[in-house]
Amino acid sequence: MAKDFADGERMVKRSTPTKVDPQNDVPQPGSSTTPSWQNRSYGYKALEFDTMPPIPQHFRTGSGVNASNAPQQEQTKKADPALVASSTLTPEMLTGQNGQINAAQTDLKTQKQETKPLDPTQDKKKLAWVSPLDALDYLGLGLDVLERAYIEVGMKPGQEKEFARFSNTLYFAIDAAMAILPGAGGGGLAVRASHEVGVAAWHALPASSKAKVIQELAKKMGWSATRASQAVNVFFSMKAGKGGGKDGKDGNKGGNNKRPADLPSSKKVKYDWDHIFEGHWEGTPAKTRGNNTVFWGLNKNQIKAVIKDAYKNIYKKVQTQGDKVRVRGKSGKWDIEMWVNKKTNQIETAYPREIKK
Amino acid sequence: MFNFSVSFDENQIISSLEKTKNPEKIGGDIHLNVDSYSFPSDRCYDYPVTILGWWLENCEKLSSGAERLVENYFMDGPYEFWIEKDSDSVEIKFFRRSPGDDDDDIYTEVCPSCEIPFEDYKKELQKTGNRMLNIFNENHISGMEVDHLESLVKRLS
Repeated sequence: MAKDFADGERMVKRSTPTKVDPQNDVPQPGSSTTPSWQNRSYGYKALEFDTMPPIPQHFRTGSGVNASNAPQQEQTKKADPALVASSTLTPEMLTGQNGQINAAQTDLKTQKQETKPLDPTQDKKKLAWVSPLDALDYLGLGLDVLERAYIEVGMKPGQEKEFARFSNTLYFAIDAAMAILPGAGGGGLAVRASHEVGVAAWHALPASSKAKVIQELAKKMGWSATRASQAVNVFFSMKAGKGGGKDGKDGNKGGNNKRPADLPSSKKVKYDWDHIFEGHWEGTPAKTRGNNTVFWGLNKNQIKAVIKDAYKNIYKKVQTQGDKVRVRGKSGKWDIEMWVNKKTNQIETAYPREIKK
Repeated sequence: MFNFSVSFDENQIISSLEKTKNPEKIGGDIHLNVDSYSFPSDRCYDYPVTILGWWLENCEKLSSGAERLVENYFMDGPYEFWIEKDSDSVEIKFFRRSPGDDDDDIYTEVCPSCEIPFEDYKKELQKTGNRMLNIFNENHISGMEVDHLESLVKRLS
């Protein structure tokens, strides 16, 4: 059965390895690593249930349920925020008989409320959905991007409630506009499925509908039309995954929109540098590292930089072996394979794919 | 008849154990020998405990009949060897992966394939596993990884 081995090498080409998990080759929706609002450092305060407008369940959960088939539950003051946020909104409330936005029926109870601090651990019964960060997490925006949106929309510290109301009102108004727009597919509530869909919906709206949305927003927020227009444009100019981090590359959702969702972020991942240098640094004696592929011409710091960069630029998940995943990333001319231990969040080894000196 | 064996550097493992008590983190040479060939080379720095565990798991699949062809990987280089079982024997092929078009790998056989009795292959892996376990026992290393390796070796018996 042994084959001839005349030329020292035979070329065999195989397509995609059999153990690729294509489902994990792209980030999964709702996989944001955004920390919970309780951990925020800028003093976000939870608000009392009594102050909140009714929020459809699909908006709370991000499930994309259309208002027409969303479960209609009575509002309660129970601690479960999902129950608290159950919908009482129907498409009929969003549109009047002549197809215009029915402002009276979509009133979001904009009266001023006290923003006294509330300890969620002590006062759970009064806790309702209030956090703009939580609310928008499922939209696919990273925390950094949200913070930036918060600032650029013109909100000041302590106005988190207003920001939440702004985003609610904006999406309600767009939903309503889409609901009456011929060919838009009806309710349009699915724009909340992701921020990017919302952006696309906004840009797809005709100018007349945009004007109505801005008018509605201005009315509900008590803003001038100019302020509302600016806020909407800023809000929809925010994109997840770009410019989120300090380096402008790697925010909560990104820098690398191909990193498999089950792998640690570049901020969380650790590296077994000793092992990598032992096996793949040219300064390691050949007796130790053997005939492994080597980062020729790079010193240890350069190897670190290349591997970190390659991890941010993973382009393929190749295979999984238990807790370990083999992935490929690129940094400049370097095409690198890495084994990532999902359990320990560690890159256990990394090496160049090609053997070039 | 081919002469197949697995080699690892006991001294390197012992010196690595001085740095870490976690067998899974031990780095050292491990490679295969087929007659006069060494694969991937006569020195190959890797995670011996981890990859030997993978090879043993795959051997168990062949033994049970769950798989007919398994791919055994190295962690520290683009190398793998495939084992194809055919009744009582296995054919072993040795590959190096290199980048091809469209992210596909080009697989290059870097040393001659060989055919050996499956029992010989299995015993060689068991023997290698037992040698590693002896080192851990002598150095009073225990833990989940050692237990796992031990159970894999026993299951093949």
